[in-house]
Amino acid sequence: MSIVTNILINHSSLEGAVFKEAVDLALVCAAFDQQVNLIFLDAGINNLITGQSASILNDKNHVDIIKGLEFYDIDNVYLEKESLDKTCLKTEDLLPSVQLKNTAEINKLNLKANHLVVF
Amino acid sequence: MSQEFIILISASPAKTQAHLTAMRFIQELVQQNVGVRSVFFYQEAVLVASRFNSPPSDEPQLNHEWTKLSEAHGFELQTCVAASYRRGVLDKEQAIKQGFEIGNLHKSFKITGLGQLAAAMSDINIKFIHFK
Repeated sequence: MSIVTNILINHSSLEGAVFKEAVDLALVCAAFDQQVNLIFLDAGINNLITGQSASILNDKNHVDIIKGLEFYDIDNVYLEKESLDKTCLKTEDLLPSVQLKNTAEINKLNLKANHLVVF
Repeated sequence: MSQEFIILISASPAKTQAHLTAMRFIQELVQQNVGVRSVFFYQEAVLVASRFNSPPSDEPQLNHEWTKLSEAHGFELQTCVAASYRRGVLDKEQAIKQGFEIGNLHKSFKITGLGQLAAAMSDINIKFIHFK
């Protein structure tokens, strides 16, 4: 039976290394054959906006890694609908590979998971 | 012991109560005869592993408290290598490689990879808790 680890990200990539380190943990857990659900909510949804240019801030564009997650066996990337509804963003503004789920669905996923890590 | 915990701490030692809360949690586990396999420090929490931390003497000396607890109950204090190096917590070898004269990793802490944490999380018998 595969271990299920849910990693919730509620910080944007512009808030220090939180986002980068959350994704690092997701990648390593997936490498250990865990089923990783990567869930974006609150300010974390800013990580999913397409066309970001971190180079303006002399930063590295960490967001690009989300596009390649499937190559590391992370197929379940979710976005909380209620978090999106609180912003002016539309799904067209975000990476297409991310699946929309409401709070109740995310709570169900969390209840089923072996581990829950919130960044 | 039938059950074991792995503890993840990601909170800064200077900004939150997370380290003290985690220590109280561990003491309670031990009292209930539940084991602790290791404590893993990630993100800002790695700052606790600097031996140069010098809080005022009437405040908690966190790395000293962690040392006492780990020695008393036989678990490792592990810090993430990438998170530690990013925040200037270096063992002697890495410090010299980077051109510094000495490292600042406290002797009670061990720099390891995220794989150590993930491997423990993959163990079906392990309980995992995150303090942030």
